[in-house]
Amino acid sequence: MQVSKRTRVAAVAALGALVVSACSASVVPDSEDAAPQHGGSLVVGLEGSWVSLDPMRATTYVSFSVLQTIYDPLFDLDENGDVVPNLATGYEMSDDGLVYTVDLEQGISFQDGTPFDADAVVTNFDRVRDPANGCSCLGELGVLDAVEAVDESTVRFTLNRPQAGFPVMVLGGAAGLMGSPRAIEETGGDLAKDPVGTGPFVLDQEVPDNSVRVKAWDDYRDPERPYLDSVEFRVIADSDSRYSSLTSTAIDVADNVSVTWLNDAELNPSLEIRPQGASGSNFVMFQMGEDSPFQDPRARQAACMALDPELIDEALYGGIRLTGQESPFPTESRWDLGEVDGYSSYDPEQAKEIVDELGGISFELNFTNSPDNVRVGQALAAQWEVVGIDAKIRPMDQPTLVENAFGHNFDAMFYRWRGAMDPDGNVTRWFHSSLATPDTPSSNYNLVSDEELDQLMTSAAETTDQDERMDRYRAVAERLAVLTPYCYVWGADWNRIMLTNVHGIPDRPDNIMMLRDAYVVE
Amino acid sequence: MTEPLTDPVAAAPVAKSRSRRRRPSFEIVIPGTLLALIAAACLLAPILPGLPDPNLGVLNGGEGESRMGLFSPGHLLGTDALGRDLLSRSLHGGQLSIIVGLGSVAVGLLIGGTLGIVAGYAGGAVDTVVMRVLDVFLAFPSLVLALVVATYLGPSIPNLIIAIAFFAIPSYARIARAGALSVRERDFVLSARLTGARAGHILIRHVTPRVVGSLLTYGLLICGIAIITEASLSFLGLGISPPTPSWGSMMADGKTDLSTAPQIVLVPGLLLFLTVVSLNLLADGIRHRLDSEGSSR
Repeated sequence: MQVSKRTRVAAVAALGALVVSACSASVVPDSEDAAPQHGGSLVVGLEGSWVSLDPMRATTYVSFSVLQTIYDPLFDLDENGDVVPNLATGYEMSDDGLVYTVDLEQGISFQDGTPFDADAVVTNFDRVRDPANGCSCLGELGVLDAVEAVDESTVRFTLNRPQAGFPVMVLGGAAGLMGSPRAIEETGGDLAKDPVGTGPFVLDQEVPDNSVRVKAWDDYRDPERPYLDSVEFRVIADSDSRYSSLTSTAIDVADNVSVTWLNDAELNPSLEIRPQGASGSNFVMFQMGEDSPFQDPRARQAACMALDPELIDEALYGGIRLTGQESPFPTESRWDLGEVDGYSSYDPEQAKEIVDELGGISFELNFTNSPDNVRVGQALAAQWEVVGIDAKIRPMDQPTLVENAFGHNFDAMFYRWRGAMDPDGNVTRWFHSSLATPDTPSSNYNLVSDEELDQLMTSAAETTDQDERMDRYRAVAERLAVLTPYCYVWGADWNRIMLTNVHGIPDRPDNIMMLRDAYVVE
Repeated sequence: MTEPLTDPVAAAPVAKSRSRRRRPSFEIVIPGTLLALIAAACLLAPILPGLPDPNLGVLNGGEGESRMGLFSPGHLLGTDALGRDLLSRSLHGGQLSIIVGLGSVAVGLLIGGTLGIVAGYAGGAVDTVVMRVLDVFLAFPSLVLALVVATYLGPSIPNLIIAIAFFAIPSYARIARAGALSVRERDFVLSARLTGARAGHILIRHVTPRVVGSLLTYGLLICGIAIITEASLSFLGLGISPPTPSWGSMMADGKTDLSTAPQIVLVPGLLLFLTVVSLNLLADGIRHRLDSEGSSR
């Protein structure tokens, strides 16, 4: 009979595959301290589309990984989130924090031969600043009043209010990626049609939302770089497929692989795990609006007190996640505040008392239906059950979850935020009362509306002194601890996994992949 | 071959089945016993002594640890990442498979069988319309269809049954229609019609009994596929909501631990495999017997 035979054959094949995979040996050359070498190509598996090859349309870190092969930024960000010179040589800030004077490298040309100078920078900024062009970076550019060329290699940026995050968010962000003025003019302002920058690679072939290939630019300003002849980015949306493509060496680098695969990857001698750190976090967020079971702050605090992220981490991952977070700034990140006064950390006895006082709490917990999240959801519900909180867990697909989040349509949600390199990006867009709009979608998902918090966040964004800023963000975190919009679970830690013969890709907490210095040992 | 003017099946069904005594055939006994054992263990799981609560783990006060191996004290087949007993979860998960398997076969058989018999007996426009509509459904890949229905309806046991029964309806209808077509022109049906019997009476009394045998055999096959489909939907996160155990969701849960704790996938996987293979072998055995009965008649 047909069906049963097929079932049996499939089962035998599956068992066979299991046995084979259990005793694999390294399939790539072992090359721990190999010197950089020229040639070869690299295939990168990405978790999503780069959307467009115009920097104006850059959205996620994936866009930046692809864009920065073709375009150089004025400033790079290092692993601490500090700006380091790239096309610019440095900047100077006026004492009132309103004027930034940026010096540029000289003698550089774009890939089409146009010279890179102060006028080119002004052209680029005028393009992204024009609201008609709808740059995804418009939000960060609201502080910018004027951009002028002082001389051939100096540009002056004038702000309308102090903004400490300006160099990181603007000069080192999407707006800081420089495109050729000639290409901008010839394409009618749409660089996606003809992407021309000063970067180490030029576009070879693009299949929208599927794959993009770039090849080395022979006239790059550093004659030694790039080492690679070509790079191909492929979208492989499913984390599990991305990982299996890597184990079969169909790709050389898998971006953002689920933490659940780390145990498996550690046992595979062909693979190297590169933890990127975290600038964002995983948390449970509560709907604070009317008719929500979490309208009462005591209910939110009890829910947080019931959770022990360390124990969950220990059971699920063997204790490798960045736990201990009590503010919007994850553990081991640059703005890590450690323990925060007043945060409702693990205390099941008190949680039980509050739940009894409130006469029980019952709600629905939403999260994406990846196998990993389904496990975490069950773990959270199990801990809530211990203190008498009844949580129905409801996994759903990612687009529906995000839509419900923006629409404020949930009781509680287990959510991941990728994180911003400047701390303002981790608070204002989430908690400002101007975004607490129950009837319109907004990024203040849980409808936090608190005047004191608004003032604290604005004052922290304006401070330019790092220590002073840290103090002001502590005040923000302490106010948040009282309001308890979130229970923090752990940092949104990224893990890039590569074949062991791939080298030279720096680690960054925002997970952007820089391939200028990358090389492959054959 | 001369055709009787009265329907031998309708006239003396009971006497016929008693008149034959057969040796038990291994084809039927072995898979049948295995199925009965699995079903009994699953259905009795809530009252089996020494079996821990399937949802009790390290985070809500259960005994044991995360990812214990086979033959651990207190956990015969080990535990999953949350420290929940694998044997207990597998047996409780089996209940869901049995309910969904039998439920979807019953629903599919009832709807598909009725449609097919009516279409085959009535013929003409009714037949054309019903069968063409069902052909459209048959053209969809069944798992995709079940995925769509399950996503649309949301996770619950009745919805799972509907989603899985949905794709089986056209196949049942085709089998029932073929049976009904072959019976329709036989002499005893014609004579019943000539004596003024109503269509409903003929369908129930003469046509249905001749179609039911092949439908039930096919139902056994479909039951196996239904159980696999339920596991696939659960594996993809579209089955019953966790923490309620199901074979599919248990396997999805354990797939990242395959290299370090394979038992999390293998225990429910093996149960699923044994159940489905037994169902298929049983269906085979029964069909062989029916065929040989048919040819010796």
